[in-house]
Amino acid sequence: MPANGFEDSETWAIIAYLRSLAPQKQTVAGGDPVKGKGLFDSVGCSKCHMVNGNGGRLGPDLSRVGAARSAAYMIESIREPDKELSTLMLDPNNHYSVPLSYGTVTVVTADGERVQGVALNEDTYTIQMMTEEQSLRFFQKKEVKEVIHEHKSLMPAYSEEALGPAQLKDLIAYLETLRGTTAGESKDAR
Amino acid sequence: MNKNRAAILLLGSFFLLAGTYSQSQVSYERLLGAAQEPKNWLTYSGRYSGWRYSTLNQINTSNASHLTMQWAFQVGDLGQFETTPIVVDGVLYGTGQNDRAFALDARTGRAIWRYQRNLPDKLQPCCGMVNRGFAILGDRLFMATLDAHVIALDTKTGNLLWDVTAADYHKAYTFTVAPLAVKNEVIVGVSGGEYGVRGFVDAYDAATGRRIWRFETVPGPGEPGHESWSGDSWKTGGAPAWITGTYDPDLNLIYWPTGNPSPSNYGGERGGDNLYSNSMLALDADTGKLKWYYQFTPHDLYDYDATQVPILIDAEWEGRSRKLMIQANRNGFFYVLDRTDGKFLLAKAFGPVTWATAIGKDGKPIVNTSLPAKPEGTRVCPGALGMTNWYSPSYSPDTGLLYIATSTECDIFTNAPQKYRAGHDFLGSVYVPDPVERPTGALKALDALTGEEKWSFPYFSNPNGGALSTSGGVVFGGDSDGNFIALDAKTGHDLWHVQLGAAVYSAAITFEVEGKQYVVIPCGSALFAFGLP
Repeated sequence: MPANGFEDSETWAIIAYLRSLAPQKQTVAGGDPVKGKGLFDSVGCSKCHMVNGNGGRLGPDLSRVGAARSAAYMIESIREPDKELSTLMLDPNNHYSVPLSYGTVTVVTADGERVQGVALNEDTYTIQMMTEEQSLRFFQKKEVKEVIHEHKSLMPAYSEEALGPAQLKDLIAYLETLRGTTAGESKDAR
Repeated sequence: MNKNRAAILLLGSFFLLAGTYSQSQVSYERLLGAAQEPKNWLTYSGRYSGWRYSTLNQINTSNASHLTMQWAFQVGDLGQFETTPIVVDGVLYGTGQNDRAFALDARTGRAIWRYQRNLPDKLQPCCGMVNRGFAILGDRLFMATLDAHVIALDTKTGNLLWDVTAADYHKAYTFTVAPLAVKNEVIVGVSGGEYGVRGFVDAYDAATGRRIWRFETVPGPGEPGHESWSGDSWKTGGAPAWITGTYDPDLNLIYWPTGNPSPSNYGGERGGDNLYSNSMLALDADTGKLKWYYQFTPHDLYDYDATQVPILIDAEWEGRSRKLMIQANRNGFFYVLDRTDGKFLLAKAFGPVTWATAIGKDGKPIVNTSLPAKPEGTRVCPGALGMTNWYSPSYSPDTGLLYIATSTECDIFTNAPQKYRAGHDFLGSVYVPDPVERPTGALKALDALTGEEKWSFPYFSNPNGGALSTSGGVVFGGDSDGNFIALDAKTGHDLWHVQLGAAVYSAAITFEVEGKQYVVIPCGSALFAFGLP
C-alpha cells in the first residue's frame, strides 16, 4: 500500500470509519460464554491457542480476538480454517514483503523424519518452525531433503458434527468476551 | 623530535595530502574511462554503459566462500537504504535515508564528514524517505533531495556549495534519484508518479547550479505526443524519471527511463498512449532534445514504470555490429533496442505475464483483452511492483549474461476514478498481492541478446535488491530476508552468503584500496564491507 497524503481531518475520518467496523460486544445472540469457555478447552482449541497466558502456542494468541475479529470471521475460521490464513509477524525492515501465514509446513530431514508445523520465519537458506508438538525447530535448508509449503491450516475444520450450531454459538459468545489481558496488550491480536 | 625535523615531516605531509587531493579530482575524462580504473566506482552503475560490472577479480569463484566482514558503517537513520556509493581513491561517498550523506575512509569505514539535509515536514515520496546516491564531478558531489532541490557538496568537507530548487515539493515533486554527471552537467529525473506530477529530466551546470535544460516527459500543447493524452489529463500525467539513466558519449545521447502515467491504475480519464510514460527517452546530452523514444507499456493500468537501468552493449545483431540497448522491464518483458534510433529488435517474457500476450513485431504490446474484470478485482501478472523493478541489473561481458532480480508477485487490481488534488496521492486504485500464492523471487541470468533464461537462483521472498557482477566470475545479490549472496556468474551456483538482518534495497559495488578488493552492500541502517581475510 503506498503512502498517502491525507489531511489530518481525513485521516481521523478514516480511523473513525475503521473503528466503526470493529465488532461490537455480544453480537451473537443467545450464546453462553461460560459454556463456550468449557468448549474452548474440551474440543481442543486451547491445545493450540493461548488466552491470557494459558493454552497452546501453535496457533495465534486469541486473548484479544473478540476485539479484533467479527463473529462472522471467527465462525468462518472455525468451520473453514483454510479459507483465510492468519498472518505471522511483519518484518519492519522489509517494507514490501508479504508476511508469512499460518500455513502448513513440512520439513523432510536428511534421515527422512517429517517435521510438520508452522514457519515462524523463513528465508532463502533457513526456516524457523513451531512444530505440531509445539517445540521450536530450526533448519538449514541445505541440510534437509525438502521443505513443503501447503496453503492450509493445521487447525482441523470443525464441522457441524464436531461442533453443533448451539455449541458454535456458545464458543463464539466466549471468544467475543476476549478483549485483551489487563496486564498489557497481547503480542498477537489475531 | 627537533623543530626542523617536525617541519620537514609537516611539509612532507602537506605534499602527500596535496597529491591525494589532486588525485581526487574526478574529471569528465575520468568518468568516460571509468571502466579503466576498476579500483574506483565513479557513477551510479559504475560506468556510463550501465553494466554494474567490475574487472576486479581478487574475489573470485575459488575464494568467495572465504569472504568476511571488513567494516560496517551505521548511517544513524531508519527506512529503506537504497544508496549506491561512489568510491574515489580510497574515499567512499554515500547518501542515506532522509537525505543524509557521508564520506568514509573506504578501507576502514570511518567517517570523514556527515551531512544532513534540513527537510520540511510534509514531504510526499511514494515509497520511503530514500535517496539512491551521489554523482561526482571535479571536487563536487551532487545530490537530488526529497524536497525537490539539487545540491552540490564539497567532496572533502561535505560543505554545501550550491542549492537550487527544481520543483515544488508541496505538489509532491520529490527526488530520490542518483544524478548522472555528463560533461559539465548534472542530470536528474523527478519522482512523484503516484501524485500526478508532470515529470521531467533536468540538466544543471555543475559549476553554478544553473539549469541548462529541462525535458518535460509529458508533452504540452503543440508538442509532439501531446495528442496521446485526452483532455487535460496531461497536466497531471506523471511519467516521472526516478532512476539514473545511462550515456553513450559517441552518440552524445542520454538514455533515461520514465515511470507510470498518473493516476497509475485508472486510465478512464487519460485516454491514449500517454506519452512519454513508461518509455525510454534518448535525449541529446547538450540540449535535452528528444532524439527518439520507445514506449514499453502504452496506456498503462498496472504501474509498470520502465525505471530499470538501460544497459548499453555493442554486439553482432543479424550479421552486423550494432549499438544495442537491453532492458528487463517491470512489465515482464526483456527488450533489445537499437540505441542509435530506438528501433525495436526483440522482446521476450522472462516470467509469467498476463497483461499482454506478446510484444508484436512493431514493438507494441498485444494487450490481453480477456482478463476477467470482476467486482472483487482482476488478477494481473506481474503485479504492481513488477517482475523486476528499479533495483539495478548487471551485465557481464565475460558471460554475456544479464543478471536481474525478479518477483513472482501477481496482484489483484481494482480501480475507480479519482479527483486530482495537488500534493495528494493519485492512484485511482487499490491493489493487493494474490492472497493464495505468496510471492517469491529469484536472481536470474538471461542471455543478453535473446532473453533466454540460463539459470535462476531462487529467493524465498520477492526482492528489492539488485545485482553486481565481476570478472572474478562472481555475481552478488541481496534478498529481502537479509541475505547478501555471492553466486557463480556462469552457473548460478551458490558460493557464499551472510545474513545481515534486514531487506537489501540496493545493489552492491566493488572497489580496491591498497591492493585489497572490497564489496560493499547497504542493508538496514548500515553499509557492510566484505573482503578476503
